[in-house]
Amino acid sequence: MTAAGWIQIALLAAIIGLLTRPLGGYLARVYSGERTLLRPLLGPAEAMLYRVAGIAPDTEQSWYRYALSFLVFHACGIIALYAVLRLQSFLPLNPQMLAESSPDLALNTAVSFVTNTSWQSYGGETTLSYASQMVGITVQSFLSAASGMAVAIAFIRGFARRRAAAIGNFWVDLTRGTLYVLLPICVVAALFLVAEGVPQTLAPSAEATTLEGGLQIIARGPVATQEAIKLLSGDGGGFFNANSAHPFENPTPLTNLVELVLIFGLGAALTNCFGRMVGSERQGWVLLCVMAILFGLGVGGLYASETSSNPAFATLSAQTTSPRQPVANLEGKEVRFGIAGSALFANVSTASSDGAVNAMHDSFLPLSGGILLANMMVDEVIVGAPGSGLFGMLLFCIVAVFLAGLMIGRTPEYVGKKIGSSQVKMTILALVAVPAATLGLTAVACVVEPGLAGLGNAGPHGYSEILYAYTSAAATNGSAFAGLNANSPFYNLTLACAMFVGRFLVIVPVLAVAGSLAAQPIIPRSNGTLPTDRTLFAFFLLGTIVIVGGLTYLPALALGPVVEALQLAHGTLS
Amino acid sequence: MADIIMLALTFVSFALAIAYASLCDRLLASPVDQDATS
Repeated sequence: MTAAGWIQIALLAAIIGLLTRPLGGYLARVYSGERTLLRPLLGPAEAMLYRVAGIAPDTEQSWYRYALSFLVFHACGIIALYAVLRLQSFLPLNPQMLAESSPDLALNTAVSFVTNTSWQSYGGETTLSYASQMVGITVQSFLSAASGMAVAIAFIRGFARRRAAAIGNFWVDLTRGTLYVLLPICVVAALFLVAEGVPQTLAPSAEATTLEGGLQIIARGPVATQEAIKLLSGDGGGFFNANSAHPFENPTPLTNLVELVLIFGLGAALTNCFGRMVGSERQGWVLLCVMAILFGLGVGGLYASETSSNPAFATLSAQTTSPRQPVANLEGKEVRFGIAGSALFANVSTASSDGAVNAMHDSFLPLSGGILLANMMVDEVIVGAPGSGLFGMLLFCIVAVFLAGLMIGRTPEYVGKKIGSSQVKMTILALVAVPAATLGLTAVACVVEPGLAGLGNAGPHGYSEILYAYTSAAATNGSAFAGLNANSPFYNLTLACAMFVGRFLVIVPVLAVAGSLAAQPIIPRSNGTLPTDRTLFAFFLLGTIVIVGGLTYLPALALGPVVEALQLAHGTLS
Repeated sequence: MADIIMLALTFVSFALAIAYASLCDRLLASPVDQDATS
């Protein structure tokens, strides 16, 4: 480990820390309908969109209507994206004359981007036309992020409102998130990326003659615009198969840092937005501190693991360095970013639900792979994607105050709202959906022929590849462990199922909790109230996340990364 | 034919999700909402 490596990590943490408060304040003003700097510019566009769509922005919805709007909107999104992918060969902006996707791949891709997962069973530059990338993928990246933030804001309103029958208007929240938050940041980010060398063109792939006289086709396209929203949305689906390891997606160390900030920025700011909307910024800081501790543990573990020697190297005669100098694990990494840059990006990506990669996760050492899995298995509450990270963390807050209430025999409360049995039931439904999809489908894939047919490795590593795929899909992360050929009808359909469950069957109970909380009065703080804006609660919340995650996934992790690490250490890995 | 199957899968999945939302609504509307710690 080097000082430069730690400085990279600290720099990212400092930037996110500095951005959280101003961006959180801006988000709170946007979603409260207050005047912002951009309202004079974008207000007319917002009003026009409401008029065209026939939306009454002042009419609010109950949680059930909100959830119905959310579901219907995304059903339409899947059908639209499916149609674009299936009709790609008949649509314009297809200079490479790429054929349409197969039906199962098109469905998988449509579900993937509508659910903000961005699992890619295909290579972007060899499968999707510019029209599919721009009209299909990029549009859904915007909308899935905006809808995730809308759900988080609706959840916050559940805590902030008293005796209210409504939690907001989904269409208004969706529009404001897209217009005032995502679009402006993406415009600036895309221009920055273009300035740093990321292509933005509709010209076909370039052809070059190599020194040996061969023909090399260099893929390019409208990369910068997709790259910006890919990172900001928590989506992560790359224009190129190599994702952010590709020099056209991530050309310089500066773009690498900015991409990390884009991934984490909104998710972190939403904690402050939560604090402001419930009337106590300290509540938001507590959540961010818990996220920061989990993030620190993950990135520290990854960095330490990847800089240690692979035990298998000890047996190689090519080992030339001093025995006292460990050989870092550089396999599968972009040397431009090195160990620290790769470990940091991998941790941010799996913690945030983004799923973008600048190194190949399959090549990380087994324990590192276990950390990446663990990041996703805790429901990606370590900042998470815009919206889903915050409501995931708030679900754990409900569990934490419920457990605390059981311990001291008091009715649990959180930010002035009584947590009753109905809220706990809905919370458990939301928290159970992801592990049920992950573990159930992993078990199926491990025993059926089509599941085993996709494996590139046998033994615990092969199992880890399957576990990673379903964990990534159900947690709406979208990063891949590689080594698994997932472009088959079996994997395309089962992974689509995992993504569907991980998004929609989580958000429905989340909105139900929001609705039931909004209907309650706000209980004044008393001597018997558990303070949830203190360090003690932060550690209690941290313990709850670790224990719930551990109890759910430890056996599954033990069969994969843990066994593989032990075999590697003892030289018995075949 | 495969396209119809995929679209049917999509419709069925969302129909189930909407039914799930209705079920949650009924659970919340249940008159017995006791204190979670009791």
